[in-house]
Amino acid sequence: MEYVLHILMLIVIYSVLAYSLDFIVGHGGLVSLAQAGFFGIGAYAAALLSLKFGLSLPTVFLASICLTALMSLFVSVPSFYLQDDYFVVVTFCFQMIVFSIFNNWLEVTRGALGIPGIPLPVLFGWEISSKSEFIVLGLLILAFSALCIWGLTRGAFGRILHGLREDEVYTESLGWNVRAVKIIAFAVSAVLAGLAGSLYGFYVAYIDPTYFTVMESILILSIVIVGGAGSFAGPVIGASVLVLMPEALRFIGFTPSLAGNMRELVYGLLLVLILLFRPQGIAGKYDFTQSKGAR
Amino acid sequence: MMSGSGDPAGLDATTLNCHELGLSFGGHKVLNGFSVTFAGAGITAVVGPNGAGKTTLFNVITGFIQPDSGECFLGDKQLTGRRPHSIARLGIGRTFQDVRFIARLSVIDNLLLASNAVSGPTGIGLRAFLSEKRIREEHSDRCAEVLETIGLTQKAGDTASTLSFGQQKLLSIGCCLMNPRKYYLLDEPFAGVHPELVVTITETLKKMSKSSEVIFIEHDFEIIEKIAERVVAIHQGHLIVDGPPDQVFDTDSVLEAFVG
Ligand SMILES: Nc1ncnc2c1ncn2[C@@H]1O[C@H](COP(=O)(O)OP(=O)(O)OP(=O)(O)O)[C@@H](O)[C@H]1O
Ligand SMILES: [Mg+2]
Repeated sequence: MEYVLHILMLIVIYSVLAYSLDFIVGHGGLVSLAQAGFFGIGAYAAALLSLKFGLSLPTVFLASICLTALMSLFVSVPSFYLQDDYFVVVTFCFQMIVFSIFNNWLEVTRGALGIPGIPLPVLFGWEISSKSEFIVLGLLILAFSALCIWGLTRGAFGRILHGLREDEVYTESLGWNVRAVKIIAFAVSAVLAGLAGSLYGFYVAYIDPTYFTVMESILILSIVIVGGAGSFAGPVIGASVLVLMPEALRFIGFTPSLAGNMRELVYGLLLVLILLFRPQGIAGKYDFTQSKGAR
Repeated sequence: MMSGSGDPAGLDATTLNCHELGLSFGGHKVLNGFSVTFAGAGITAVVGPNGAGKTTLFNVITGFIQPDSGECFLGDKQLTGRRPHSIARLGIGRTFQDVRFIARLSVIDNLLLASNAVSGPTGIGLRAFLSEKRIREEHSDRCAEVLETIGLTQKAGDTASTLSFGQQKLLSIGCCLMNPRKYYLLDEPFAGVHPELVVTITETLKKMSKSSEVIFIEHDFEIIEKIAERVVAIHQGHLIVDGPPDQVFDTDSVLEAFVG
């Protein structure tokens, strides 16, 4: 039972991460490899603030929101000036820098030793301790994320994001402040990833930099692509598939160590198959592989 | 109603004034001390051989390219240095020579995307959280009107990529029309369009010019003579003639530059 709950919790956390990334990738057409960085910033913020300052859960979340929103400027501002591949390189660099800060700022993050003993979070007197309680908190955050994304993608703002994805110059000519749109989009994306990170930090009670590498960013991007970029159900479907698959491998008889190695292989294979046969992802409408502004 | 060859004294809030614009691309002078004034009413054609700098002029006015020297004003507001979205909101709409619209969205969604009435400069704000249904309701009259004008009423729900080239051109003009602007800068709205649609586009331009000035780039002198009240001829980044069509087309320098 504990095991099932753990898997469920992972699906919830990765769903939030996928919503956060899909907002900019699927809806805004801005591919980023920095998502694990924001995930990590949220996790470290939660760990340090609750351990060192004994802040309560709402305060930690608030601080995490402010911090990730602020840090998102390091990604959104370069996106004014760089497009496509060049921009992806910037997000990659941001990811590397954030990782090396986690890994090398020993006084604060303890580097590779990580931060153990993150206290259990308390929400208005409710101490969240069991796995099922964490899942309740996780589902609340997932619902909040999904609601944010739903509200922001279906109306006017969503249309402008789609305009940005297809043709930025044209969208700007219509009178839309595309820079401000990007700042908002990246901030929302980073904040949601940060919330997932804070939740994750509390849940596992121990974090170290290896959770927040560029490989993790790539995994989140894979979830978005597999689930279907720019679709509402995509992130949850993608997260379920990619979390459950390695577990399934274990069930069909691979030893845990072999299953671990097979994981990367199967992810790679799945991604290739999806891109070949269903480029819009399982639930998606937006063909990720088609070039922008196809006219 | 019309300014003829630019009346510098009439600098009211709707005057669009380009002053001594200079621009080079890698040593090649595309605009060379180009000055022109528009009054904000009527239909003006911009002519010039390929590579004369017509599209570049539009790009400079609408803020997509910064000139090396000179500046543009709308009334007393400086346009040069402003970002394109802000120039659009000051009252200068435009279309592109390589017809632009959002291919994956429906015709009606393209019109809604174009409407600045939705909310704020980013489309976000309290109104962005109104139900989409309400936004559509509020815009239904305007959309119907524009669809009628561009003759795409039947195609409202179709994905824009399924339209014919001529219809796509009409859609891009229609998107421009969604907002009341003082100027509509249209880059070759007639090029590559079937004669039947030429009529629709002509009528659209005439409607647009009732409360604004339409400035369009065109190579076909016949079309120009039919609808333009003023012609501005560009050659090698210079303004060579500026006046009513019949007069401009009789000028030796124009004949030389265009017919060779
Ligand atoms: N972004 C750019 N970079 C470099 N050169 C450019 C750029 N844009 C335009 N040019 C050059 O500037 C000159 C004028 O181009 P422009 O597009 O303004 O011509 P045009 O008058 O619109 O011609 P056409 O009738 O063919 O559309 C051309 O020689 C073109 O090669
Ligand atoms: Mg041109």
